Amino acid sequence: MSNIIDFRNITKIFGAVTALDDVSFSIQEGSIHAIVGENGAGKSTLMHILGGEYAPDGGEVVYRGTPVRLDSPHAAHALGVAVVYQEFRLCPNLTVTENLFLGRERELGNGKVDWPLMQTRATEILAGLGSSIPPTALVDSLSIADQQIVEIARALALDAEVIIMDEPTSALTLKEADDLFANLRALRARGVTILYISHRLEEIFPLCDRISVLRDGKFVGGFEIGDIDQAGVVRLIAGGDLADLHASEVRDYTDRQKVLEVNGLSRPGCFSNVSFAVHEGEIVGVYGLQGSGRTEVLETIFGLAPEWTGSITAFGQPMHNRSPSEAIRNGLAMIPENRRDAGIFPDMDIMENVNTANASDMSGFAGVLRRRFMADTTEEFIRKLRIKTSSRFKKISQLSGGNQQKVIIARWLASQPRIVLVDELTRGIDVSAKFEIYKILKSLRESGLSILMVSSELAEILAESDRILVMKNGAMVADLRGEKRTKEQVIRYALSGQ
Amino acid sequence: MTVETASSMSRLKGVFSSKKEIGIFFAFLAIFVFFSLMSPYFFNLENLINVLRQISLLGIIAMGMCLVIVCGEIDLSVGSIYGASAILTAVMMMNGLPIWLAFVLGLAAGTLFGLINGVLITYTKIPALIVTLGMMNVVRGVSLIISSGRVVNISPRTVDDPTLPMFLFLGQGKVAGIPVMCLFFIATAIGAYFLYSKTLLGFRMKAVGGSARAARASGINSNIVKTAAFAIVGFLSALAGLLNIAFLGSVQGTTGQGMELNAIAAVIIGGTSLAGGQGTMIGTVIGVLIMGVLNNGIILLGISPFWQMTIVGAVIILAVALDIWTRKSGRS
Repeated sequence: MSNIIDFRNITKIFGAVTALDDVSFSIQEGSIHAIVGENGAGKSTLMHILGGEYAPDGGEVVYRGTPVRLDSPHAAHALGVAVVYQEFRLCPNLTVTENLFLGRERELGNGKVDWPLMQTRATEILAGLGSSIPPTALVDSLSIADQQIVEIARALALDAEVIIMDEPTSALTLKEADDLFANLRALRARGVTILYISHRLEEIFPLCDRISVLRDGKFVGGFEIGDIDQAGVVRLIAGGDLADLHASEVRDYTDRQKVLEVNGLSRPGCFSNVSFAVHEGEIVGVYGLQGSGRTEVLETIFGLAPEWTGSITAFGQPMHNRSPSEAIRNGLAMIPENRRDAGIFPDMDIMENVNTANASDMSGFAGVLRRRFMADTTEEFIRKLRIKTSSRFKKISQLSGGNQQKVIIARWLASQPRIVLVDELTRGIDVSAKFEIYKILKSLRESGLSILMVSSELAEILAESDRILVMKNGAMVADLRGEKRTKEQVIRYALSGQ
Repeated sequence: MTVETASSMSRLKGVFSSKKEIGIFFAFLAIFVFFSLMSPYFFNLENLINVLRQISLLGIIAMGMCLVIVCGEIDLSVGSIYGASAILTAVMMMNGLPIWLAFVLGLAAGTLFGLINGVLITYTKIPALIVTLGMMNVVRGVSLIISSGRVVNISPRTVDDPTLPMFLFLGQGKVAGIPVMCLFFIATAIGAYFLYSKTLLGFRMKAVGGSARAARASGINSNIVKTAAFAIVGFLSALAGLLNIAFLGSVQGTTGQGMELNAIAAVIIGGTSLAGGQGTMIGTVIGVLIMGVLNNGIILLGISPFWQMTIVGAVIILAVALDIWTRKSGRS
């Protein structure tokens, strides 16, 4: 097979940062080609160049042997390149068909707007993807997985020969991800080339044909998938030896004092009769498919749910939090799932982001802020958590995802909690920052904190938690410890519930 | 020379907390110098004090408006509150209430209107634009009903209270050559700056406006924070209204119409984003000054006052355009 795309000496500079440095490699036609690297390695920049969003400062993109100018998304579409971004670019207020032909309403009808014809074509394309989404449905009413299918369908409606997928499984359940993989394989069989950008090595290996690794804007290696293993790729991505980072000792702390006890907790429409306990100094993982009620349990404990029944006991005392501020007073902290919407204050600097949950410490008489205290606290955490920044006055939105999350962790440590609830702590964070965050979790355990950790990443749950709770369809189906704490068991309970 | 400029620049940076504020300050200086060169009447103490007096009332309201905008909200009812609290106070005085009590009750009425705004917006989730648009009309109606559409005068003939001259002093008097009204503006500006930059409440306004969900997850009760901002702007609008009647000695049902848009304009010219989450009190003061100097300068240059609105409108758009443009060029 021939190369459909050759990147030749691509360089892209943003101010003082070289996002891509002389990157050259080729994509074979009809293959699924993985591009991996840490956040900031240059994957997104490369994708934006191919999608016509950025112009390279040096080098050229060669398409089917001819150098091309991709100066707008439209130019990329005309060539047959479509990008499915992590944040979908769909109009939620329009129907599926309207979205598929947005901006090209006249194309099918030879200059006239022929909605029935577009409807038929939309149905065909969706059927080709094995989907039964009605083309008249509003995008807003679709699940995330279905919206993604609409994005892919739009690429096909453009007759795209190359589809770039950016972190496509980050919001999908296991089942939905499997359906996606089946679709991608079917597309490959039809000759479509797919560029697959992802952090999740475990899904790349069974799916992709080739893999290219970027690090700090440079191309550091390209392999047939059979010629390399996961450990090799991780080494290339990180540029160092990460062997020791996987080492994790599992402890049995179940004989210690129970700091949090949940009994018969139910919330209508979310989960019912959930019971478990967390012991002092324990990291308890909660695994389950999306929609199994994991996040809702955390929210309920933290006072974010309006109505629930059952009992919650903390440190031997009954606890009924009606708001997060009550939960904070009761020694709880919660790092929410969606960092960008519910975690960071994007316009604020690091210091202000750290000092938000520790109201009683950061302000003194008549609510006057204690700037010195705020500064000292921030500096201490920048040092302790190794937050990479030039100063505490930098806006949090200018930091990488991993460093943003460290700031959020600092915020919650500053509130001096005794139990920390975390939800998808490392989502969208690059490999080495992930390991740093795991180290932080371990050190918190040493200092006697208890951690209840929800995660969709099986590897993370297995490596980092002492005990694993599994949820399915709003019920707690397993409490796995000791020898039963294995990958197979966790998956079995998460899928079948027994 | 260059060394001197550099050191004065760094001194400027000490006063202002952001580059944005320095930019707005220089824009103000440019307008100021322009009018000084173009009109012999502009740069003299009497005129400048006059400008300061003219903008004081708008300035007092704009400081509160900035807090509301920082919270990611908007208040269209300030002009009506400004008028209504003055009429309520005047009517209470004329009906024999002691002036100090009428004064306090007038301020309380403004605060109450603000509180109602805040509670409706936060607890019923009706958008601020709608609540305060409604409130603007309701409160305006209250003014018209109470005054029956007539001018309400306060003078020794209508108000029987020996302390009336003291009250009028607040609007008409001067201390060391500076109108008392301006002192109120200066005090409000300092108070607002302190609240916004140095207190937990101000900090939380910024947090709530920046990300409502993150604020909630951090244990911040955004309903209370926002309601406080609306109550503050209600209080300040009433204060400005009372100073106005003390200055003019009279008030009517339509007093303060359009004030809300001027206050919002001053905040925006000052560099505060309508999106919420960031604002600048120093910028707002300069925004108010720019509007005052423009209005004054236009008249001194003999340009038809009908042009005032057109020019101020163009300045609003230009200010925001410049801000967006500088931010873009700063990024790439």
